[in-house]
Amino acid sequence: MPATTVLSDIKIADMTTAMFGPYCTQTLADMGADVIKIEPPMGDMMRYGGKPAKTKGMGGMHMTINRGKRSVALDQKTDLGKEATRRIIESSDIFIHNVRDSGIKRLNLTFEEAKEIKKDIVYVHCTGFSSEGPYAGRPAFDDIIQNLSGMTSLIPRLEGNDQPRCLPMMIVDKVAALHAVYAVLAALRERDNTGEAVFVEVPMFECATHFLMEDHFDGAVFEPAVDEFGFKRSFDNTLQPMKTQDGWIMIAPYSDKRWVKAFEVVGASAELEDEQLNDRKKRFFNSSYMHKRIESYFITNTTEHWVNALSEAQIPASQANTMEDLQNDPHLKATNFFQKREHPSEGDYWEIQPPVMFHNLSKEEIRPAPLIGQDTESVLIELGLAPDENNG
Amino acid sequence: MPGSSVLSNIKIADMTSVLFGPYCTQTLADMGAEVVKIESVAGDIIRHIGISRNTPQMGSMHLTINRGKRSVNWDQKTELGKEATRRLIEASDVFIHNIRPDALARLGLTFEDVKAIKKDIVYVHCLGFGPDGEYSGRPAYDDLIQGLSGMTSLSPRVDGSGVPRFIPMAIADKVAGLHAVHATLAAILERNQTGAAVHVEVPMLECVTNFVLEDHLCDGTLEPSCGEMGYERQLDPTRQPMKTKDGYIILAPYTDDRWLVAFNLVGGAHELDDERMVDWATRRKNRTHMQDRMQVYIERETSAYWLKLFNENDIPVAPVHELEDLQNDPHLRGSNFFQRREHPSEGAYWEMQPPVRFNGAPDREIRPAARLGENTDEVLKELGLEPPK
Repeated sequence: MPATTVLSDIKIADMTTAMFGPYCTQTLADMGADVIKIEPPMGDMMRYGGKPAKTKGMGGMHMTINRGKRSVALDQKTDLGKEATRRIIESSDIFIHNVRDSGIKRLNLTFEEAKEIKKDIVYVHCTGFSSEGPYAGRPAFDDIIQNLSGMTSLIPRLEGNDQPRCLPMMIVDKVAALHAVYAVLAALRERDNTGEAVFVEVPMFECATHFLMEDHFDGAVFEPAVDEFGFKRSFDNTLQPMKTQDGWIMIAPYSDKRWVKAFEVVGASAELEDEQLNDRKKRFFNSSYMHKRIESYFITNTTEHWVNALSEAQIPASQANTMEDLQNDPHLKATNFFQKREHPSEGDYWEIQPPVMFHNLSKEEIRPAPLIGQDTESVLIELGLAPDENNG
Repeated sequence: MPGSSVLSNIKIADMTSVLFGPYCTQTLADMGAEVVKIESVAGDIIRHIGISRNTPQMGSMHLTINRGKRSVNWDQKTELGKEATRRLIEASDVFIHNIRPDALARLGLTFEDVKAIKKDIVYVHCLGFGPDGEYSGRPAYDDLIQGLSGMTSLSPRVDGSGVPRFIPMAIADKVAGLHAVHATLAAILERNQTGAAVHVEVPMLECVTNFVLEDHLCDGTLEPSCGEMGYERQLDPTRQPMKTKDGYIILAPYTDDRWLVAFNLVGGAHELDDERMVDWATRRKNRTHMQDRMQVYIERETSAYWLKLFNENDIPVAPVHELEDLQNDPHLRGSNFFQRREHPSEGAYWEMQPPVRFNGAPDREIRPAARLGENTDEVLKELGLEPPK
């Protein structure tokens, strides 16, 4: 029973697709919000990412990203589709979408039009670029924004070559989604205070750049700059996980006292007699060299041995997990992070627990990811509309 | 005028330090919340990371991360300090901290303690690991969480090296920080409804692992799995920016019909006669080959040439920016993303606009990052206490 009911009386009309918007609405559903996912008849394209076990359109990514939501498949070109969408918005607190401006105008669902349907609607536009700048309205994808925001300049700086490389995950989509979650909640509070509609824009480009620059602005924040862009520690190629007998380990002593102790724990105290490491100041200035000297000692024993030995000496250390290791990580197992669930049509699957923990609030099972249009009929009936052969 | 006021009248007593918690409270302050940053007498260590200009405890990271907040640093070991903290909590909606669980009882700041001070407090605990697990109570750092969450296993999957490497930014701290923002707001909504105190925990490991797996759990979701974990597209080493005559661009047609248009535009329509690219199915199967062929053409012209051509034809394309290029990006300039501000003691600096916009233009200035204890006296007076001489 992993999900809280903290947002249980919030209703969301969700016309988002792919990763950005849906990860946002999944997070809200995980907190108890009632989300109706309005999909085109073929369904959200994300359903086809990753192999399904049984049903086409129920791929692995969809099973995670679209859990907790009801699915209504509507053809926006038909009268029923238009009327049903209108009524869903009317009965919702939030209308969230990632449709480009030209498209939303064609659907007659701009902010002004949504306000006519519900005068205090919280209208959230998940977009690529803010409407204030010249790229407004352009299509945006994770790799495009990674490159525009400077994210692809990080790995080359780390490795000292000049070939830009994308970060290996849909980082822009996911970061923008997290911004959208708080944006929705802040806007709800504003609506509660004023009784009026709120228009929120969550632009991927600005979210990604802002996120990147929190630490990487560094000395260039001053004008004129007192240092280069880039948080130096991130670009130190020598401060990386270290090889053990059976895997990889990271240690984070941080203070000089703990570094000295770490050398002691691994049996490397003799190294600290080195000219470059024999006092605190030298160790601080030669930290990369210091890291290099301790590195070779870890290969003599297992990761578990070192993690235990260092933890006992109060030195933070842990193993580098591969994704496959995660389900066997002792902490994640004990906290039931991966729950095995049974999907009504797709069989067994793993459900990641929502990470934020609200104590002492009632909990509910998370609704498994829906088939396309699984809830069309029941929702239409709720809205006082009769399903026809084409819709539900 | 880059901050909005959607959260005005929310008062936050902020005892977080370094990056995770402060990024959360910065985001809340950017939306208008009133944040009082309770620092140790020596100050948040982040003040000393990154070079400062005029004042040693005003380092560059602090200037960004701790904007929007007032700073107090009364001594928590004195009677005055304890009373001031108590009164500040009493006058706040939210108490947020990143104190280790085993120190809370000693400091008298457990949830129960704080609830006794303010019965409907929103209590947000930023910590390394969720409770009841093997690592619960341990200190957590970005590196360790990156490793534990599987984040460091991603780069080696791309280059096939098998050597785990950190994502080159404080990504674990920042992702957890963003989770704490929505956690706080959801808890406030709950408190408004029930009138009761709310206790929230935001554990870095669980937040970051969830974040990694949103796309990457992928074929490992179903049990038994239908394939491997890892969303292929993001781990594909060939899906990278392309070299032009004078730099790099990212070309992302995505849909099949846009790829056809792209080949036409570069003068490579005949490439599609190749049996590996003759129809939708073969093109999908031979994506790497298709990209390799496109690269041959892209190398022949400048980045500016391709950006203009592809933009005109609605094919997604973008320049590859270095960090130094960002302030000259036409869009970020047009949307006034970097604002030049004047800090009262540190001189001119750049302030990033909060990325989320509420109702169009934001309507107030963001308070510049405070000097250590800059607001101690004024806050003590607000709480009805006499500042020490």
